[in-house]
Amino acid sequence: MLIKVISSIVIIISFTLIGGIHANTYSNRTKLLSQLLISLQMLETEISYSATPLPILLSNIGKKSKEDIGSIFLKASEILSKKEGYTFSYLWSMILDSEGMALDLYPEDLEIFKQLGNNLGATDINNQIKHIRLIMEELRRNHEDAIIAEKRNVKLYKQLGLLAGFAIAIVLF
Amino acid sequence: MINVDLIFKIAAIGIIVSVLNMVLNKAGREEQAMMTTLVGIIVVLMMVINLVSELFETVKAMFQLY
Repeated sequence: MLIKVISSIVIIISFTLIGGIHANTYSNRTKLLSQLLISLQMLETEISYSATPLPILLSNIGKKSKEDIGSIFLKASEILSKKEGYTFSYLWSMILDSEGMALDLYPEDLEIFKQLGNNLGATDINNQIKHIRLIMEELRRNHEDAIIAEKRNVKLYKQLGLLAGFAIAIVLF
Repeated sequence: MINVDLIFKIAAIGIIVSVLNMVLNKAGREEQAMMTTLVGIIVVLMMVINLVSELFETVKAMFQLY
């Protein structure tokens, strides 16, 4: 009898946590998008005020950003400084394909972020700044969508997890 | 009389299915709400079907309606 009670409590708690984990992907996406916007703002400021070359620029931004987004910039700067002869846009899409999959961003967000690779280090300062601002605008739109989706979904998945736990516990016992 | 636990189980499943239905409807996912209602019906049916067949056997034997 006691074992039944304990195991049903364990089942309920674990299903609630599963629902919470799935809900986390939504709130992670919102956080990642806002970090991304902050990093892009820093990038724009650094490009317009100092003429640092690309590897150093990327590693500065990477160190100043929070961990998830910063690691992408740091990795790009590291591979660039090895001077293995990659073009920046090829390198950028390669890094985003490998690292970006582990993050909770949607494919649309990654596509927009990849556009950055086509323009950095390619044209003069004003054009680069314009491109960065364009990318920031598009990401801002996605960020607002992400906030709406988060509000709608996080509570839903937590409640679903709890109810599913109850249902399974009752059916089994 | 026989196995009162089953009645409680069925009642609890009914409550949970209706709460799930409400939550999913409110969140806009009506197709999934419909799906969980159907699943609840099937689960309860599976729990009960043995007893129902026993009932029919008993009735047949009692009235010798073979």
